Amino acid sequence: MLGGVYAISAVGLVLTYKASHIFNFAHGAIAFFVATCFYELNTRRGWSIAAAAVLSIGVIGPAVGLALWAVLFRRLTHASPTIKLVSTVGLFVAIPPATQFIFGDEQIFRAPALAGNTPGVVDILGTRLDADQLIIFGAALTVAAVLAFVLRFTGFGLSIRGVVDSQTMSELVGTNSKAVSAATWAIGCFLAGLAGVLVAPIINLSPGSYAVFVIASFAAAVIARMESLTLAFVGALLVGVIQGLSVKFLPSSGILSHGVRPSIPFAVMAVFLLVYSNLGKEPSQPDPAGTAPRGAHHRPPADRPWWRRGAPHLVGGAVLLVGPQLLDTFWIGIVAGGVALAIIFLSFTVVTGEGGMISLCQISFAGVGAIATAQLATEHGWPIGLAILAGGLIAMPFGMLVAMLAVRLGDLYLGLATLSFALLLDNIIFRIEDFDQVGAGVFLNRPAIGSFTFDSDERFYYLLLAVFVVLALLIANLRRSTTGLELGAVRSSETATTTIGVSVVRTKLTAFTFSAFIAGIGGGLLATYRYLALPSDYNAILGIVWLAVVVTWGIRSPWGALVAGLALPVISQLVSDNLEPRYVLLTAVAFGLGAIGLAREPRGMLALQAQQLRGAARWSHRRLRRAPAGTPQ
Amino acid sequence: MVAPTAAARAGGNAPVSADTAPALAASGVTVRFGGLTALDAIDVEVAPGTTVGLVGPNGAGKTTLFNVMSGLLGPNEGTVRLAGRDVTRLSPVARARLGLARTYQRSELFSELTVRENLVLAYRARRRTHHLTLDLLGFGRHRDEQEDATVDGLLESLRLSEVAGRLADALPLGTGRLVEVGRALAAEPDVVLLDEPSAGLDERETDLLAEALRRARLGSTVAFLLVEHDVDLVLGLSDHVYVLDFGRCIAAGLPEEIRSDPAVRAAYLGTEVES
Repeated sequence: MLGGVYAISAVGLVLTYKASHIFNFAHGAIAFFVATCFYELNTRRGWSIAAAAVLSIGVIGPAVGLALWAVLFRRLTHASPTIKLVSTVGLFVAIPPATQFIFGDEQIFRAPALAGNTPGVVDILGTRLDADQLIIFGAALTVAAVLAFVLRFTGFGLSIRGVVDSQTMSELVGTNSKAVSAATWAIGCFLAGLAGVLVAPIINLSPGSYAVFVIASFAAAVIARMESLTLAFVGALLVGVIQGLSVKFLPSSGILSHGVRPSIPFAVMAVFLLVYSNLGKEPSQPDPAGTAPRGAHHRPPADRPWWRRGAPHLVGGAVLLVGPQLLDTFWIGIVAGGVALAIIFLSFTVVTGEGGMISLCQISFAGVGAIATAQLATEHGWPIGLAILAGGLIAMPFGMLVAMLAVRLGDLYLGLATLSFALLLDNIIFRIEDFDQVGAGVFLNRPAIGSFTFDSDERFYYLLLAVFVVLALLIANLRRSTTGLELGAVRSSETATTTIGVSVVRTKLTAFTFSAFIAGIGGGLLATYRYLALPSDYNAILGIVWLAVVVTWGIRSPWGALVAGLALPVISQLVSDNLEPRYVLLTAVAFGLGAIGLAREPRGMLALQAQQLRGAARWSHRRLRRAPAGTPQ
Repeated sequence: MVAPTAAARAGGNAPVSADTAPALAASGVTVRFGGLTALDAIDVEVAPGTTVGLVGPNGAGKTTLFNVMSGLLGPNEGTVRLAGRDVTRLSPVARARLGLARTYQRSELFSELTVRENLVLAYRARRRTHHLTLDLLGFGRHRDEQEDATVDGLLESLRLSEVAGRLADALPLGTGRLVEVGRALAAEPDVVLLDEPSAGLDERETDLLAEALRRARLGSTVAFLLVEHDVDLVLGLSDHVYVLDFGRCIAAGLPEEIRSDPAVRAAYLGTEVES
């Protein structure tokens, strides 16, 4: 049943990818937005189903597509794959809370679809179908038929196919490729909205369930290798059928049904990614020209004297050491949590900042670290400190495994593979009863050295800060070492890296494994900070938000990770102390938009501000020097 | 002198002693892309310490041959040997460690590293002296005098010392080419494949390049295989020249023989070599 909705959504996804080579991570978020609009109009404002559907699906959906194209996608066509990916991840993070901010964030469990609240039941060939289900099938078939007709037999279809094949050539023969691309985004978002409204009664109308739902369409897009609309359609139906069959053949209770059934789309995606990569058929190149500058990485010029390079570090360090003395105990607690997060965020600094890879499963490594710490400490009586270290070491083989399977894939597919790994872990490992304790998690103590405990947030803050500094220094050493040069080489040119005798796979593997260690340590520390190891605190969707936050503040430097870690809890707390609760949603929107800002300043906010500071300093410097020469005012 | 040896021509595994074996030998290399035969049973040999030129019009298969030799592309038939050792099944990484280096037609510099770091990494990659644990603890930054001497010597001879600290993506095209050559030489290789190193260089830079290549050969056994459009440069530098056309080898011999070969003149050189 879900297959039909998956298909509609998957076709939209592949269509936009084909036309602009941007994989829209926010496809599900757009579906959620349109579905919420429909719910608002139909249920809350009492519009008729038809009117609400026409306005939300037919007008708002395409309008969202056009608007996003105009402000964002249009500029991204020639950006690097990484920037394209992170920008849509930013939308993924920003749109759902924005929607909830506008329409309210109450839980909506049973939203009506196009058939209304009391769908009739029809018997067809012995199968009972309700009206909603009939509409889904009808819609899926109509979409397939209309798209096939338009692409094959109309001038517009010809233009789309032309732009897909060669944008330059199409423009030479007079096609307005911008208009075509805008139109495909309108269609893609129309399809997202249609799927979103249709799926509302089947899943909850909540951001989380939409994020997970759309991943089945990602799987279908992977099956189609981002190319064939037909394959995407068929693949989506296939995922739906497998999921349907699993209901019949899996036991109806226990880990198998609760864990395995929802994770079927992720498993399908993982399997196809592996098969394609092992056949040596890299799914279609995300960046066929290959000439787009990657540009996400610059290094500060090394020609400034050491004291000027060192000054920001010294000032920052002093603030971190003395700052907490000025805060009350409540705020020290908040800030300590921020540092724990920052330690996990350092793993992004390694894998994305240094390694140039988009990984969406760093949070899972943190979860593995938290679970391992909790199990070793509570079940096996290990000292907490040792258990945390062991948690980091246990996360390493997970990192190595993911890297060995996924590192050969291109940027986009690496992102999707790590996402499916994170979701599989969420649904299977993280749900094991011993770890989850029926959603209660495992109680954990904070570490202690003899009788010296870290139960006061202030002491724990300094412990966390020390761990952060040690890890940051390791990263700084790494960056300056031969391994750091190798990582820089891999980011610049993989071909040339191999032909000077450095293995690209090995280098990336190193970065991935090291980042998993850091994330594992950070996960254990975060759990002891909270006195609780709860696996669902480490879910894949939250991990995507984390990536957006780190990217916003700066992916290249440990300072970016630190500020990002502090910003997340501190800003939320400030907002909820001073404003209405619903404004907390806006902080999430801001972080999403921050990630989109990456397209403008790849090094992140911190670098941007540092640059402006330096610029301002130079400007005032010049003014001062010029002042004596000119007329004194 | 560098005519194919019987053993190499046979393409078998006949033992060839390392002293007499060519530094690099491709025998019977055939590559087909679908129905198109890009390379048809090509035999090329490069003796240690010599420079061998490879000329031919666009689409003759020169870059394809380079990709086969450096291991980026597997041939349908034929073998590639480095100093007598069959490397046809070895990865590009393994071949590089055996002493094969190359440059690229389109710049493939490590744009996020400085010019000097480009060379340093190539030097270290061949030696593989580092270890991750040491790198993390900060012990991987030892000053190696021999490394400094090699790298700085190369930078000096290519007139790159001035830009050594600059990021490689901020360089003019011609300078970038020289950095590519420097990076290839920094590994202290036995064979260097040069893919149109003078493309985009002005006259002064071309002279600098030719000079640097001649100097690199002095007192070392490094051999060059040189693909070039600048026929005068090739004929001037090479000890031996192969001419490719449509994936076939249409002539081979000393530069002066090639210059006067009527078949070659007709196929390719006639319009370009006035002298």
